[in-house]
Amino acid sequence: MKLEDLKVTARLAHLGLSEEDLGSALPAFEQMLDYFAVMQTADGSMAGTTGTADIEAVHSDLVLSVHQCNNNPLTNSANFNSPNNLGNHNDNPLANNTLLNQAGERNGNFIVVPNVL
Amino acid sequence: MSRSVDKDGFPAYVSAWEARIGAFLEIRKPELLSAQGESSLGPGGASGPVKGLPFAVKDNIAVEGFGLTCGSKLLADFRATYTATAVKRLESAGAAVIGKTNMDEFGMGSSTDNSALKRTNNPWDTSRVAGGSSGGSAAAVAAGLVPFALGSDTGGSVRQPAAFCGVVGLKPTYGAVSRFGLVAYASSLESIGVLADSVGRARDVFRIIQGEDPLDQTTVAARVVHGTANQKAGGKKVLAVLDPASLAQAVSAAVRGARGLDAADGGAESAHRDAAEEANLINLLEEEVLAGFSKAVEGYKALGYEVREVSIPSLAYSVPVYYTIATAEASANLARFDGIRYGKRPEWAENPEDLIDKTRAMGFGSEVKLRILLGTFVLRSGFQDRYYLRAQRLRKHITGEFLSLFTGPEAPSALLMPVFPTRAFGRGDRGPALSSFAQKAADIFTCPANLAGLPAIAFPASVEGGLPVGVQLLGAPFTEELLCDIAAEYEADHPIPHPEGYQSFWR
Repeated sequence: MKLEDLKVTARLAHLGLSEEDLGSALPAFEQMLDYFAVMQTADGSMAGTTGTADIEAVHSDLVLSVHQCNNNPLTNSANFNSPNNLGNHNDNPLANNTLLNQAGERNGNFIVVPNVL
Repeated sequence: MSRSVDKDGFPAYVSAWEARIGAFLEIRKPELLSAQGESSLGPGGASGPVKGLPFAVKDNIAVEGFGLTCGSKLLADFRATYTATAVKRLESAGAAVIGKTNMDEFGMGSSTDNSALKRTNNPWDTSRVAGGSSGGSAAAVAAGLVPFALGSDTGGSVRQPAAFCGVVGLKPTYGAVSRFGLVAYASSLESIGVLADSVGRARDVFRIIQGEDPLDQTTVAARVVHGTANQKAGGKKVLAVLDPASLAQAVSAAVRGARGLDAADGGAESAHRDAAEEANLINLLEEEVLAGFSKAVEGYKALGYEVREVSIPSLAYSVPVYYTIATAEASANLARFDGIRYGKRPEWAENPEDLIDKTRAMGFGSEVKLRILLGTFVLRSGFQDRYYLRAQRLRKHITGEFLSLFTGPEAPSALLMPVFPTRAFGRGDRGPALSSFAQKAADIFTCPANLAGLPAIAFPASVEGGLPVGVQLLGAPFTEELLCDIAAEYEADHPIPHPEGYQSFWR
């Protein structure tokens, strides 16, 4: 992480930080980013949680667990985390493919949405 | 429950405590409180559990006529022009707001020392922090200034101060309580919660504030699940317990893995060391917290519960996932504080861009700026995949593991966990004794409930070394009633402790 990267980020965030402010914020900023890097280890330890090719496996697991949960009288709620909401899963593969095929831009099984920043 | 039974002594009591702990940013004059008749303490119905009771509200929840500072200089002069749904429902039930409580700026912190406006002390030991970010609400309840207060819980901000101050803290299921009138920090994670002087009071308040609200599209008309009639596991009383030691091992393994990735990338192996090791250390429970947690486990066994040890491997990633998502949402939500829509303007600016930059540079504190920087960075083009999208995938995995835990005929009723690895920490010469980073890493026991949208209740397990130790119960969605039942069983055998000088004005 370079100070220059932080400067660009601060400008995007409209924080109006001086060079001195940025310099003093950098160590804490780097420390948090380093900690965020722990998430990379999930790529190895949680098969199916990373990469666009594996995302459907994650959704299947989730839908299964939520389905189990919804069948449970204790957790059964008409509105909370229905399978279709959790993971944006659609049981109809035809509808999924149609959506993907009609997307302006795609990345694997994802539709690319323009970056709002 | 009844209203104040000794109003004559109440104003002096409030003044004396408030001078010591600084729980309130704004409070109606205590003299006014004692002079009020029942009718002026809220319209309410003929009766009800909160009728005639005063309550406090965290200063990021709108109450018309009161300030709404969020603990920030940027909003120091801002007054709310409407009232949050949760507050309105309590007022309709006959309760009355007596003041707004201190908090970490925009809810970002675990001590309330990040408030730009004042310092709040722990009623058990005024040299220590009250916890955060709802520290003012927790301190006010613990000192007996109010019987209950509202707070908000984004990553543990109701439960952690409740544990530090020895009161009950209820974080409802996401969507159970309207967020209309709550100043947004991380919208997909936060809930308005309750801090109260007993489990029963927390339940009463929750019953009043929960429910669908047309002003908040994320609320749901939940079917309230009642507890004792719904004991799971074939009618047996079963609690799952997350072994803190095995969780620390899982975190340690994840940290080692991150170091290995560094080396594989050709970078210095020590690149993550400082952050990782500090995170690792804080996840080891303080001796007194472990003692309190063990007492809770033994207490439930004595109450006839079968205690079943479980592991939730994905929890090792919960803090990085939580902070990635929370900071990303904060960077978007706090964009409105620009001096044009909201926020105190500088005296002079060259152009609108300069106005925004100056407003935010002057108004936000360092912790808020750091989180906005992090959130902006993880959403930046080129970094989204590595941070934000990865965090969202892991969040789904964590949610899935929790839902699986509470699924099936043999599933436990709730999961018993510590709340925070330490008791209320003290202050050094340069601020809180626990570093800002360590405070974040220590959210490992509280932020999972927010990531998964689950209800959780924190309550005192014991007093160790003169300070309260809290534990928490997590449950399946909309099982607040069941969690309250289980917590109340423990409370019946282990009454809520109080700091020295505490006096109860309510029954």
